[in-house]
Amino acid sequence: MSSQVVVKLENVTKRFENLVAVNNVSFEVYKGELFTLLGPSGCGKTTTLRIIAGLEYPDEGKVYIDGVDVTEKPARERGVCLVFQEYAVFPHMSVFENIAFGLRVKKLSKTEVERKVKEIAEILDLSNYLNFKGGKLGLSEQQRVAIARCLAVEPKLLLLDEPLTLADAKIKEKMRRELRKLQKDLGVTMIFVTHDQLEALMLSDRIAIMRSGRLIQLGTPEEVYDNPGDLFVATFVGSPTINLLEGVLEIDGNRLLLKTDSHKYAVASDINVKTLQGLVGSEVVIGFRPEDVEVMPEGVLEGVVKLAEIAEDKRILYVKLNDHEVKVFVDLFTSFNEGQKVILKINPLKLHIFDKKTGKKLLKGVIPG
Amino acid sequence: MTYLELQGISKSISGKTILERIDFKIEKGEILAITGPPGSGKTTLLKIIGGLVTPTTGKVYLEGRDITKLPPHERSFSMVFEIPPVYPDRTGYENIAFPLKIRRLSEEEIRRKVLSISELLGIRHILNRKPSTFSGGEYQRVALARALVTEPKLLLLDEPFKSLDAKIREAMIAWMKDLQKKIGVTVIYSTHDPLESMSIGDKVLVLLKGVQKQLDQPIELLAKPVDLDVDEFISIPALNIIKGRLEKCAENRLDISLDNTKMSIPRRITQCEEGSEVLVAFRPQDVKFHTTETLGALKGRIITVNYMGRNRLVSLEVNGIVLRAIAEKEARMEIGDTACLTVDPDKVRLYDVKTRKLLS
Repeated sequence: MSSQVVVKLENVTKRFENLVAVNNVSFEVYKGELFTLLGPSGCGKTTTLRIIAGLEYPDEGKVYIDGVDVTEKPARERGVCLVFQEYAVFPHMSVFENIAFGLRVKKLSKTEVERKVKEIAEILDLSNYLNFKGGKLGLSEQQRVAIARCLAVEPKLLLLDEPLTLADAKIKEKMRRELRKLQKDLGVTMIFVTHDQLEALMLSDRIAIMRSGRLIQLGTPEEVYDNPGDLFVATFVGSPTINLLEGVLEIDGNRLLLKTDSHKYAVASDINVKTLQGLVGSEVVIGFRPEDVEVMPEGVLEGVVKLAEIAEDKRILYVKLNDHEVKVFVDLFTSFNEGQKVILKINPLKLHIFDKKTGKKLLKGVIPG
Repeated sequence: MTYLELQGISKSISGKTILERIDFKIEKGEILAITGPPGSGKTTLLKIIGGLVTPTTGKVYLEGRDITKLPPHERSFSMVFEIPPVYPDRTGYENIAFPLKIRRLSEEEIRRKVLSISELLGIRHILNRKPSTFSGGEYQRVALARALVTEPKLLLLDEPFKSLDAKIREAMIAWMKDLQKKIGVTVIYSTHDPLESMSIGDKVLVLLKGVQKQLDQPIELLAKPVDLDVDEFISIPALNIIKGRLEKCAENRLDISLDNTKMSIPRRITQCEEGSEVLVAFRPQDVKFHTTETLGALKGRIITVNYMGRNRLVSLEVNGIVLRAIAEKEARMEIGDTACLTVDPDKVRLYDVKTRKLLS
């Protein structure tokens, strides 16, 4: 990937009355990447996008596009195009006219408009729809028309505000595949906003995770999933949610123990405890994903099956430990009964240890040995 | 024993058929999940069961009694919609207590029931608060508490968690399942998401264009969809479908030529006609992805990779058609790379080209 910076935010802050919607946020977006702002509702992701678009102005900080300070510039002078949640495809206009809209505003010649529209329609697989009315289209086609209309004016940057939120589960999955392919084929720089973590993982080259106006972690999908920097990111990214055990960390021989209010768990055995020495006695939260724990014939961590639930091609067991509950992925066709005893083994390399007070990551992965 | 039964239910509105051939039975304490795309008739079906819509033909029985003509308030059912009306000017307590007040229960009894259901649903803390302060999950639980406090004979839930964020929805579904076990209420739950229907339902009814296509346990539904339309609908990520030719129908084996390769399936189908075309379908989850040359594999070029956390969804172009596979997250790949796919022959389903019915 080229590392040419297209967008740069420098210490951007935006307040609405008493609320700090965006709090000292800085990041760079590179040419040709799909960059996602991810977070729960109210985290400041849409406001950040609107600041880049020029629909909001920051109270503090700077916004640069292609190296030019655009902080004070109006939206139309920024060379960006925004696709909204409701695609705003004109229902009474043909697909051709919808795509041509921005070009007509720019007063291009008739032949020029025709050439450009056909070219864009070809790329977006809309050639067969050019005479269709906007209102007759399915969601997936509407999305492409909205994107085509943006692309026709050759923006430096395409901004998308939760464009898949209204689609149903089946269409969503298809649109995620298509959008990722399209973005890679065209090489256009995109900034995408969503509250859906799976969508962010599926689409993005890099993800900026926001919470309460702050940028919490910035990384590739692999980095935020495999190496979350704090408890918030660990629990927000991943479905089913990461398992968490809270207690005081202890070591016994080559075993990692966790002492809770009413119990002492052996979280891992046969491990190299060296890296854990400094954490003994600390109040921690130990996290591990449901795919990083297995049901084994024997071991040290015992629980009772509470509930089994089908999830795609797998089954999720909800296992009750003494005073915690954990989720475990098992094979779809192995049956487990409610109340059945199971022994669990967590992959020590996939353990995440967080500070209970601050939520910050203390350690990722314990080496077996 | 059958608890609720629908017999030959259909519904037409001004000549347009909304529902046809709905027949099912459910047992007491079961969760039936109804799934279908938007516009497939799920809400109309729920309203017929609830008595809010009269069917054009057919009967509804509760514990053997014909209730088809019984008005809604005499059925003792409760219904919760996607966006349930919660009275904004009343507290959580008043909202939940409302149906009991209508029934003229004593203040003491109301108090006991509201507290007990709130305890169970984990919403004791919002009883004195107004709905404007509720989170999405709390709002939905207050609506559920109000529906459950009357101890309904049947709980009808129409896409109850649709407008919640994905993360909260996931938690609510597991919670709902657990709650239902505790109180044993019979539930009919509708959703447009087939995966959600299979995780929540003891049984799943697939409704496509107003027609009851299949009613089965989730595992059965996954293993044996009755036709290609059902298979396509329940598969997320999208099902792989390729045209193949039946080359040989042996005793317990089928040889199929498929694109540039052959596949042997350890199965026997009645009416196996050598040389005829079939539709071969398999889910992305049942495909093995190889980055190296593999014997007997479908070979193609990677066109998209979507990371999904615990694995990756890879789309490949194989001789002009796009196939999808779930690959291990550790697999290294780039767009444009050549890769191979092999399919678990036990997980392949064959469909008739014309009728789209499952060949078995």
